[in-house]
Amino acid sequence: MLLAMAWRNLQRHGRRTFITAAAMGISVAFVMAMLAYVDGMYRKMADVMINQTTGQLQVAHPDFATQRTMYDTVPDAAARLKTVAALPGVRGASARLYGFALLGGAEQTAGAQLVGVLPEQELELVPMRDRMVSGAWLAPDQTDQIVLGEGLAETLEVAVGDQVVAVTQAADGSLGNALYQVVGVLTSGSVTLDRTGAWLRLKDLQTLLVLPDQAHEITLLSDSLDSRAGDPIVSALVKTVRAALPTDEKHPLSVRPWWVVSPATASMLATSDASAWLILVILFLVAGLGILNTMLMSVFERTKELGVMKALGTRPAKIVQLVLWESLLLSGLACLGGLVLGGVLDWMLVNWGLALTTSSGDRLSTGGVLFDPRIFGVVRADRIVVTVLTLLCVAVVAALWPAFRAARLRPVVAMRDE
Amino acid sequence: MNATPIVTVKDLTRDYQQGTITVRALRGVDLDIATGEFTALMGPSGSGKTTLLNMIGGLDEPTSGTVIIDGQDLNSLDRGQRSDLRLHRIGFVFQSYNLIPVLSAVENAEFVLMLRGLPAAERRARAVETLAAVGLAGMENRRPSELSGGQQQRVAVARAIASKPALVLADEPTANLDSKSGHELIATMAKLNEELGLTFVFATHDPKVMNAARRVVWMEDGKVQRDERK
Repeated sequence: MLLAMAWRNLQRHGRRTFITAAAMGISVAFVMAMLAYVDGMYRKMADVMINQTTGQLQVAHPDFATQRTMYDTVPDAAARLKTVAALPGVRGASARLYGFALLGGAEQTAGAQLVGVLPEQELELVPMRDRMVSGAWLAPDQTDQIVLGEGLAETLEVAVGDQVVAVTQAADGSLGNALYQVVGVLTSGSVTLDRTGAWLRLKDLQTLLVLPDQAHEITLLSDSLDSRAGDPIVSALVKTVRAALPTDEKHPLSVRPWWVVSPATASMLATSDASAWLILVILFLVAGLGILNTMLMSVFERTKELGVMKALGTRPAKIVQLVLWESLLLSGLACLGGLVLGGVLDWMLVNWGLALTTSSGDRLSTGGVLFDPRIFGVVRADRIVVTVLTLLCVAVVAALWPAFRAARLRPVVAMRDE
Repeated sequence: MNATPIVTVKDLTRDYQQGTITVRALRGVDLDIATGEFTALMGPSGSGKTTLLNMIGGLDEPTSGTVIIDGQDLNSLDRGQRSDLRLHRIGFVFQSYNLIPVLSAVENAEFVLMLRGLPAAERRARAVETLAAVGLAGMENRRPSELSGGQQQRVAVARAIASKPALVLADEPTANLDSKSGHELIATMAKLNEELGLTFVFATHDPKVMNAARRVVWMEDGKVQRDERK
């Protein structure tokens, strides 16, 4: 009966109930949409900054991350790559070799960061084909091909079909040089790499640098879609890879998760998550004040009625229960409406995305990493559950004061209220 | 008539503070009410009859003196225990009906039974039966706003007696009713008193209630002036 009373009490002031529930429902919908958007952005950031850059875990010489010298390599790279790629839980694996060279086109020269990759395996980590501005990605069976970052191609004043010459100091001290044909121009997702990056086959770069069968890093992706530092799946895979790749003093190797390789990325992603929760807290604080106001008004208006109920022998706990039921029903109603509206917004975000551009129409960059302008929402059931439960908790907490106020009424005083 | 007192009031006083002025609403009231009595507390406004009724019902606390209901001294009970006493031993009928507007007639009648924890089917059956006893058969599902004043007060009586309390306290139950409705209500309560042996105590200045009462306690200035039995 208390539940029925609570429901009917809400109906007594239908307009007020509707307005409060609508405000709360809109809060729920916006929180849902915002979390989906932030999670989409978060996943995109993670994809660009982790999967496509460092990988979820890296096998490298222990000093390479800090020193980045040419000689800190992973020897027997092909065999080691084959070993780790076959491990359970590895979704993608590739080897990379880095070097610096002076690139020359017909008219211009520029310093470039060369990235030696396995063309097919690299595609498992980075959607290079989607990033091509012109031309095509490296063919695995063609030698002496090169793909340039958009900015670098502009600097060198070369286009697809042109040739560039690379001059560098090789690992053996000799002067390495080679002629490559530009087969593609891409935008990498990194501001720096767009200006200086040049991709060629791993074997071609190994030849140029005289680093046969060596790589600077073997980059792995796990099955995990989580991008939080300390992700247990990645941590477990780190142990598996360590066990599979014996190391010795002569050939030291480190196997590190992305958050160790790039703590700055971990910190940036954690900040994004925290800001989403901060907005959630602010929105629900506002919703809580709405509930508090509605329930206080409701209790004030029914002082006499509550006094009569107490006079008839209603225990304070029952009065508290009644007010809390009203608040819970009100927020339950708001949640239902919010879930419907939020579901529509989420659907739009997931299917249509939302373009993130600056006022000048440029793409946004964070930490030197460019993002595709359109962010697609990612809907997580746990986020929705937390959102709904948070609102219900807020509803209970906000109604406690009115509830206890109602429960403390002295019947003889309350019944005099008109 | 059983002579066991269900209500014993001893030297009861109640002072109210209004600013710097102390108003003495009750000035040493002594009163015994036996089980099954049909008693009217009569007197002009401000004579203390409603205050006395509130004290007997445990709704208000005395400045001094004792109220014993069914052997329990109210001074020894905390608020929760007084609430339980009201729930289990006392039924109330108020001047302005004071029904719960969101509940139907039958739901109002079964409200106290719900508080007592009776199973839904049992309390519904008893509430329907009680409404019939006060002449409201067929009006079970009407909301208070769909009932006349007399009908609402009958629902209030049904609510008060549905749980078969030891004592029914009624504060000016006919004050807001027309003469015919007032007569009918008094007749209904008198019948319940006779048939079920329920003890009724009224605070009233309605002559109709006085005429129906078998005992009239006259109050003035917070004191009992006369105690007449018919």
